[in-house]
Amino acid sequence: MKLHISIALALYVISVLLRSLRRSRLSFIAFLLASHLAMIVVAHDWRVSGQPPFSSMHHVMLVLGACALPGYAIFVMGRGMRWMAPVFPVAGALPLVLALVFRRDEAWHLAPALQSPWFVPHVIAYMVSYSLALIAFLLLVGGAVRSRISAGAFDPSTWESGSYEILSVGFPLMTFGMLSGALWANQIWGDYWSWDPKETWSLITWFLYLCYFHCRKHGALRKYANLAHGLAFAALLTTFLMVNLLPKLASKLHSYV
Amino acid sequence: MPFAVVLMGLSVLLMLTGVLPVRGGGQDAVFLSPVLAFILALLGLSTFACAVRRRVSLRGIGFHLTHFSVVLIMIGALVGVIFEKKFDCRLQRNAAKPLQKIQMGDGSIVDLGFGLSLSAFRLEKYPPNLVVRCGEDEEVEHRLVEGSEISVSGEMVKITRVVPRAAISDVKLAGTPELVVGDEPSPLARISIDGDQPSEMALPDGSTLFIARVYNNLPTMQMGHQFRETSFPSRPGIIAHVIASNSMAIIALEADKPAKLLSPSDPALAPEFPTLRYTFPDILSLAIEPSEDPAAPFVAELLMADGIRQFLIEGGGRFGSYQAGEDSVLTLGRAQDRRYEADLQITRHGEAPLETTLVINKPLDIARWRLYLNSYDAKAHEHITITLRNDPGDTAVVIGLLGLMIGTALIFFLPKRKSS
Repeated sequence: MKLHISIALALYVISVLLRSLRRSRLSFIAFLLASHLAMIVVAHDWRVSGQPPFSSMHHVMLVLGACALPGYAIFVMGRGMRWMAPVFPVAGALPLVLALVFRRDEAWHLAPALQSPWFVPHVIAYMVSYSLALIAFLLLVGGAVRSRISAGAFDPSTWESGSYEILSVGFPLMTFGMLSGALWANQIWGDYWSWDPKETWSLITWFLYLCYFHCRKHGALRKYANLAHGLAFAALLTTFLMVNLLPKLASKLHSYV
Repeated sequence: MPFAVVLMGLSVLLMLTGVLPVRGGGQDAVFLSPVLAFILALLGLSTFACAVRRRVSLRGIGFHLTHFSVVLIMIGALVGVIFEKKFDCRLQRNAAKPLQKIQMGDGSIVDLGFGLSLSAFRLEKYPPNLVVRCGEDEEVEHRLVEGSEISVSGEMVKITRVVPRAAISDVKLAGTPELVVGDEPSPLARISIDGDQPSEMALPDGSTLFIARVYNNLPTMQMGHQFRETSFPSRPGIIAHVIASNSMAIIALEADKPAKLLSPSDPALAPEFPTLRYTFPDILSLAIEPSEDPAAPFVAELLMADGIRQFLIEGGGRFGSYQAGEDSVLTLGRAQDRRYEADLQITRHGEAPLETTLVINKPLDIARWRLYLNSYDAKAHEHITITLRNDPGDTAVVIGLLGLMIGTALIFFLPKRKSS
């Protein structure tokens, strides 16, 4: 299966290269193949184990790598925002790099506490929202870099608006992910919130994205919106990666992933 | 709105102080501090003020739902902080008296209003994985699926049979086990341990060597060790006594390992005895059949690349691992929990006892209490740990959480009015 993941990654990279050569149709085909291949690996793992494959960082990165396609379908195909098409293969490729780095565990088992109807919606909502947050951040950074390179000739507001549109889909999913986690914790342990590091960092992330939306709404605060966005993405990376990988930030309750 | 953004920023800063690691720890005390509570209370008030200032309309339903839900969550949480009763307790299986009263941390006694006792506990485990250890650091786990093949040090090993609960019998050995008395190459005696062995033998110094018992699974005499004799030689061994005129030694001899003096604890007080060694031959074959006995072990049969059949038996000592090649060791991993549940009996004054089952992820509501199954006694399955909780604010929080979810979706997914 590592070969399949490598091929999916290569296809994403090819999609980016083809897009830069203005071969849009071929780029889209490569992107489609890459996403489907990532989904096939996820489906294979699900079928072999008989359980949702969301219990390790490798699996979660795989799912993230497959989440670029739904975003593409909504924004590029659904809302006609073709100019943001090059970002999606990048957003699909980056998690697959990490999927190859993290150890692939084919023999995992779902712990009793995870056997809940909340498990799949909670994780899927978070994964799609994280994928969209990554795309939104790439647009923010891409717009800023392009504006700097063109010495102000390029107006990044279109890209910032695109970033806002993407987060407008991602944030409700993130909200669902966080709050479904609270409802689920209430069901297992009788505690909807315990200030666990993972929970607290996810709340920090949510608050910062909330600040971003409030700043965008209010004229006087609008100039702080991009700062809030950047801080929110940094918090998201901490929530998603650091809490799992650094022992000092470790979460006792979320030690499954 | 700017005030709310400032409050959110302050909340984030305070939460950061609680999650960033510091030397000495204890930083999570900030989450219980009045400062954070005050900031969140101000945020709640600000949210409420924002919600009542805006005119209610169908298009703005998401806005009002989210803002009022936040306030509801905070009110429910505050009620919970003040009035919640929650404690963990242990329920012993078949205890003499049901649990009826709990002593809280402050010394007060809480009467549950019913009696609670544990009548049965059931645990289901996943089959263990096959663990392949290559060298010191590398370890890979594989699912044991009948008919599948795995690569071990470049050679293919086939998993020919997987029996979740196996009755093991008809063990055939490639020789006879022996108790060797004295040093090689000319020991004092070789006693065949074949069931007809002599129970005692005289030693040259006048003491007597007495074979007390022959085991398939020699008990290790460690605290907490659950000894269970097996039908197959998982850890074959002997308990022997050396009896002199004024002293006695009790010795444990595990096959192919040095003898261990069990008694007396001071070797100086034990009689002298010659070198003792218990040799055990290789296993030629054994018979495995599926069993209904819940205590029967898990067995995997492997076909190695050289055509030899090997058995890996859960908890099986000699059968617990197999050296495959120079660097690789095959072993069965620890079986992980799949599911566990507890049968409870609820007794109330004047009513017939109620039997019910408590499962993890499915709390039970009894009287004003909600019961959660937390954990269990992993060694003997004699007790479980449950949480009992009575939180008057819980309903408000749950409604608030659902309202916040739905309101957020309405804000972002309802079509927006296009501005002219």
